Amino acid sequence: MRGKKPGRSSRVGLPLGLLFALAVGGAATSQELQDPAGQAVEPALELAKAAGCDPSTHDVVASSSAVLYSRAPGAAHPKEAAPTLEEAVLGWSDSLADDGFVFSPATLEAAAAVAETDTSPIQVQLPGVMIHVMRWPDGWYTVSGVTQLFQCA
Amino acid sequence: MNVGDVLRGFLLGALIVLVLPSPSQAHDPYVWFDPLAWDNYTDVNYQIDDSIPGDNGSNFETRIHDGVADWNAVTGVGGFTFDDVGNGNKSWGDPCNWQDAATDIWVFYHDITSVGQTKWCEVWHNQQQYWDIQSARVAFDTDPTWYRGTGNVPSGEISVWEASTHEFGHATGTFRGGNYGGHWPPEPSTQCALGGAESDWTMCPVTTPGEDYLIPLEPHDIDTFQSFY
Repeated sequence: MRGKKPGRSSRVGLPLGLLFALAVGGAATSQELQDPAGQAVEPALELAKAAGCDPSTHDVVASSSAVLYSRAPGAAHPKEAAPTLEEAVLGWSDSLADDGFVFSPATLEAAAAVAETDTSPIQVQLPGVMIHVMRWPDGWYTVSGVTQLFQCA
Repeated sequence: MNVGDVLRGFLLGALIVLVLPSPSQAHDPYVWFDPLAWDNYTDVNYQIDDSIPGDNGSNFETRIHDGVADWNAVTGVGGFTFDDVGNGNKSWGDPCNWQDAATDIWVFYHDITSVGQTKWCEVWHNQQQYWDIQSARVAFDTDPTWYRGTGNVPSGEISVWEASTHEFGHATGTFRGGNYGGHWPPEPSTQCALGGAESDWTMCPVTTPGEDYLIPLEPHDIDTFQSFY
């Protein structure tokens, strides 16, 4: 009978295949921990840290909002848009104040000016608040997404 | 090197990967993946504030319920349900002041900076390592001419039903790690503008007066909702 004596090659082959399968499977599993865009799973926690909170040791409370705009047929931008990023952000100061977050116009303008040079999506970040801004093709701006205000517990 | 041994090793490893629980299986997926959602999502109750135009049972109110019904009709979401608990009187304020309130969502007619808005209070629980929604409020702006019917939306008017479906979409928990803007497609996107490829997605952030393109729910809206729960 023709047989094959177990040797070094077979001792290596089995673990090698095993390792390869585990590596492939592990990589696939780790992909599940990312969102479809490949971003970090918990961006809100990063924002909470930026706002001075420590979510590893304390609870964090966040007040968030999302808005629906209206855009007339043929109009270049929604009715609620503003010609500059500063105006778009400042238009939300009353809404922020409703939630107890009051910032001076100078602070908001400074943050908006920084965001003007940022890449999209435009994010205006202040201590304790993140504001998403959308720039329309004609150059006008709306606070289009979520504002998020953090309070460290 | 014996190719057969390598193949057997690979198969054995693949079997181990399949048998061992992946992170999403080892944990409730809504706990593992930025689980911003209601902790009692089979019974998310909502209440209509007296500020909504018309008496109880008005067309405005009925269209709000129609928007809620669109989401309640979706299956495969672990029993997620919005429950109507009637009408009441609540003052407009920060939803984080309402964390322990019995009503999860209050619906207002209020002067806001957009056509519609959903605000919610979320809490990161350090011990359990997850987010959940504590309370929310939905607002319809006082400025637009609201269409309260179910037919073709008249020129220049905004559909209450459409806005309700959109806003209650946020209340399903759209603000998650993979969808940070709370809308889809992710912002900024020109695809939601009139004529854009995705302008009929319910969770696009732009509505067109005189139209109700955002309803009914599109497959992408339903698929995304199902992926939450």
